[in-house]
Amino acid sequence: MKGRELVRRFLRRELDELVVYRRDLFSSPSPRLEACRLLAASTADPAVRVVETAAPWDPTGRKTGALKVVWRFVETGYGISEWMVVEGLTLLEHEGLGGLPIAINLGGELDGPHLEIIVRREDAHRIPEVAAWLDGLLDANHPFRGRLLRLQGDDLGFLPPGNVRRGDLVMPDATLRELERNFGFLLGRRRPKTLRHRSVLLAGVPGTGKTLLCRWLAGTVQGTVLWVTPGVLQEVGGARPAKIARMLRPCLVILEDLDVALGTAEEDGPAEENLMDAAGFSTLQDVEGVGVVATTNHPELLRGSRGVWGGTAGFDALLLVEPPDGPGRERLLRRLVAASPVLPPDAARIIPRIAAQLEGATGAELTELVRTMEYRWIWELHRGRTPDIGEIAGSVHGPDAAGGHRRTSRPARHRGRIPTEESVASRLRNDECDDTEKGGGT
Amino acid sequence: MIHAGPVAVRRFLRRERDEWMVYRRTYDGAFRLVGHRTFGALLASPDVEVVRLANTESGSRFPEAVPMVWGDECVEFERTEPILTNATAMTRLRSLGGLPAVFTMVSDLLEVILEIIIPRDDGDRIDAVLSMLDDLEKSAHPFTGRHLRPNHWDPNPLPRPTSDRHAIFMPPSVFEAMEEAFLFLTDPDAVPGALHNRTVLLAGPPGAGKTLLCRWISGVVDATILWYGPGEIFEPGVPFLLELARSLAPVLMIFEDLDDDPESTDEDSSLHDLLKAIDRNRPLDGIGILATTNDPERFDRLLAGGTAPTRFDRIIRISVPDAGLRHDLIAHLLTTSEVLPAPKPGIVERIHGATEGFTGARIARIVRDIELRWLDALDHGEVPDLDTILHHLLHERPAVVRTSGFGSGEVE
Repeated sequence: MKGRELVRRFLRRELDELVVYRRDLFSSPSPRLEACRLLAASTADPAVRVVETAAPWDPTGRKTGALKVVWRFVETGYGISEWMVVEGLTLLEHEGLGGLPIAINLGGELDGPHLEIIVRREDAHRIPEVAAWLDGLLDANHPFRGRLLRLQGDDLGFLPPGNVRRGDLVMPDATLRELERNFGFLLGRRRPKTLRHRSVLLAGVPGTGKTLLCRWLAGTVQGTVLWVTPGVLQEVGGARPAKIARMLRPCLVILEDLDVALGTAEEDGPAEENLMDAAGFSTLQDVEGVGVVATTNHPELLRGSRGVWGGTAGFDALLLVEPPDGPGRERLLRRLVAASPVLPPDAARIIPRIAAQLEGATGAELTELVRTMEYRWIWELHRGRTPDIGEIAGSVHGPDAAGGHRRTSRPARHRGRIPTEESVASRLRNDECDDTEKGGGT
Repeated sequence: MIHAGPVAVRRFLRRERDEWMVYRRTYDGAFRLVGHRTFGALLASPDVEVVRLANTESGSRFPEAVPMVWGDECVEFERTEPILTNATAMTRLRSLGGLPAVFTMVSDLLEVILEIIIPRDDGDRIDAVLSMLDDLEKSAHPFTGRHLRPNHWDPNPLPRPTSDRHAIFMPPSVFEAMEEAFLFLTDPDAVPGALHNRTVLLAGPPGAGKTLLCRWISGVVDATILWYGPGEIFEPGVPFLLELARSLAPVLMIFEDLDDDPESTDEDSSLHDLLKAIDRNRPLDGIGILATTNDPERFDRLLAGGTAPTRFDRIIRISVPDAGLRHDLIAHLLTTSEVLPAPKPGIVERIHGATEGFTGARIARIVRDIELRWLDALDHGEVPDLDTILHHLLHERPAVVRTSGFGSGEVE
């Protein structure tokens, strides 16, 4: 305990007449931020009179009771940092608790802080009241509730606000409504207790728009969003995301590439029958207010070829996201070409032909195709030639195309790939979208 | 390492350090809370006069003076509360003629150490002190009667189950068989002590209601519940689980989806260890074991191959509900729905006719889907039509909703 002299003088008790309450930060999703926020909230509480925030800093270190208060920039949102006290001693009187004198000491390492609340020994019986006060402060000032978060090892990070709108999704209304129907309890709709926990598995080959659907949901739901990549799920296990989700509910958990995370994407399919249980979301625990959407790149797992997958694998709903059909391809290509800053308006004339020839292409592949056409167009202009949209289209998607837009080994290309937190953050940013995964967008 | 301040203890016991007797008891990992609670019970006991309560340490102005420490401990499912974690109590034990004794509790994230210090010339009374401590530990045990999912490091309390027998639609014989098997946990006096252990295997397809039955019986018996999911017995290991169960008896151990244990594929598996333990079940007095499986034949194969030395005392097979139970289940789900209006005549029969061979879970899922679609229509300002919803769910059976990324949606 730092500042013993100062605490003794403030509480007017010897050290053996004091009681220390060590606030549990061990189970916090981010101990440092929680501790800093608690200290800041406690001093800002109108029911509290702050007597002193540590002693004046004495650079010689000789002055008795001299303490420093350390301030740092602490990340409190995506791209947002605030000055916060990360180390310091605050002496206060709590008017709401009858003027109870309390010393709050925040210290320790940045990644392993400790928060000590010190009271006189005769006030030891009031520690539960102090703990309840802190609980209330944290509840009202929680740094994570209602935010878009990513799990990164033992810590939480912030993701940028969702920017995918319903109109950005070129998908059947029925698909979006299916998701809204399941997650209505996270969209501000009144739902009975039995419908306040739902889980949906999105299955489809890469590029069909699963991640985009998740991004749309992440920006739509009212509550906390916790994005978990398969690498992190493998690292921390299922219990931690589930616990954080319960702590921050209402919460939507996005489990990306769940089959990869659980080691079920290889060989003979899943080892666990109930993937929701395996991912830590056992119904034995209280999961009210928690929605789960998981994705898999292996839709064949849902087709009942394996007995265990003939059911629902523990999910309430299974959504199979397939590549667009002919009219869908044409519709998407038209939107892409119309939005192109490079291609001329008459480029739309070649769309029906391309759309007819690209049976099975995903939205991501079509997006990639149009982008390649743009580059070819610019290249032709750069060489001083007059570009011809028909020739360019033939060169990028025909049998002799060097760009590789024919659908060949797509599923194998993605098998077992583990997205990282960085890739998720990248996907959620407007300007750094991963083309491969944003196929459903425009 | 003894943490009690030597000066304070010397002064209180009026003995030098080499005239003390120290007994140390360690509570590690998941049992830390037991140590804290035992110390708390000691302070509250009418048999103990607390002369002075403090923590002790050398090196400060008062050589033994540092504050008592409280910390947060998980006491219920995801609920923590402040609890005394570090302290020294100078006491006189009233029940032992005022014997002076010092109790010290020191905690860290890994373990709690309780030390009992008495004058060496009272050493012959240590057994009486320990006996008192044992009684306090038992009376204040934080696990007794609780529902837990413990491993080495965390007791992992579970929410108390609320399954109501009237909401479980199974033949009465299933309930009877369960109650009969675990009668020694509900009414121990009715069963001779030699029969105070029983092993039951619930076998049936996924969704048949095995977990529901486990939840129900765990609310019926008067025992501590230790609940393990698939694969969860591997990490703590069977010896730890059984030792824990012995210390908490009477206990009902529930092993969910035992055959799903990924480590249970060879002879050295956790499953094999468990089956061996069941074979040597006699020392497991007061312990009931209830396991569930989707694949009872796997146990048969283990038995036939000689790798499992015994079988469960009883296997209760559960199948999909018959026509009568299915009808009752559907009627119950519809009439208790907080969303749907009271079912019109013929609705129950319509669902009944389309769900032959379905498990209870699958039928419940259909009713939940009906509720969702009903609410969805209301959310969109539409008038919900039960006929349309039923037609869609019962005849098109969208186990998987198929959608293309860009084309029109289609239901499989």
